[in-house]
Amino acid sequence: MLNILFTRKALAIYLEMQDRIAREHFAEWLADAAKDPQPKTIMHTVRHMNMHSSLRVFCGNHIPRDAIFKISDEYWKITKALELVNFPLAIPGTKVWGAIQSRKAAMRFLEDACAKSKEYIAAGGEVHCMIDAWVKDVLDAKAKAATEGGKAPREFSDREMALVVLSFLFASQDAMSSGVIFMFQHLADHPEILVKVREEQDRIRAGNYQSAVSLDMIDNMPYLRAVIKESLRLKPPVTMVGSCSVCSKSSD
Amino acid sequence: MIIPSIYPSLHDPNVYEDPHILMPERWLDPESKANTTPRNYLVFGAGPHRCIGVEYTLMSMACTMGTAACLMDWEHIRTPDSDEIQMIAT
Repeated sequence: MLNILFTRKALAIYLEMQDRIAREHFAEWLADAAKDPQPKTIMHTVRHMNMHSSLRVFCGNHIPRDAIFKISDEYWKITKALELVNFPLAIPGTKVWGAIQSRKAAMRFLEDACAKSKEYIAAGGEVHCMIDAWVKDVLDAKAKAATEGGKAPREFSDREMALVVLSFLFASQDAMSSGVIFMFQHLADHPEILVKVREEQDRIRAGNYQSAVSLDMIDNMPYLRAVIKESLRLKPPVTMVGSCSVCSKSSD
Repeated sequence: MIIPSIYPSLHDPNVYEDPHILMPERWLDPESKANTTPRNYLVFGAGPHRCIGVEYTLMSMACTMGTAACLMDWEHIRTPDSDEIQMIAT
């Protein structure tokens, strides 16, 4: 059912937001580089942009700006605490305990955003972010069930929705940040590839770099898509996925 | 519990010639080995638990990197750590 959050219509809404946020961050990076041209590591710089962009895509304006940066910092603490091997005992003062506090802080903001989205959509607001799309889908299904009969849809609590957003944030803040960082590195190490990316961008954007990029334009960038695919192949952001199968007895 | 690594399949020389070289061209020909062997491309996993955000990720990266290429220039100053990778568990 979460597939409805990734329809083409939904992606177009997210893209508009991402384009705006990426430009905002690039302007900041360029201003910082003009002030201090010394080379710098980009890991946290890119991750920060990604968190900002992801949180706006997921929660739109239902989350205040300062909360975005607060969650970004808290989330890093959670990631740092998850070492490859550690004891799952949350004794006060340990990293695991700290991570649980960070998770609680992040969850409070996300639950609050879900509650606000429900009020906003119920009042007739238009979908402008992922949780809006989710709330609207449930609301529409409910209205349909009421008029045409049939089974009413399952409703999701603020907490359930916030947990999904939290899991999406996990994927976004580490895997996507890592993918983007490697791509910056790959393009810097291969200027001949960057030249070709720019040629394609020039053609598709017809020299207009200030207008937002659209989904149709991205569809027409086969070279850039090939570079992304290849960059992710050479340096996959996620190399191992643990899976745990559980057999359960059914009472039916 | 078994934790498989997807790395070997993404660097399989039978599917990706010169697997350690960045070669976007291997994806441009629909008949290439890379394109005709999708089962090796496990970046987003496979099966019922394949990443739900695959389209979102590709769109997001295209938006970010396409616009970055238009608006900025950047250099990579190589250091002894340039090819090191820090793994984190999430």
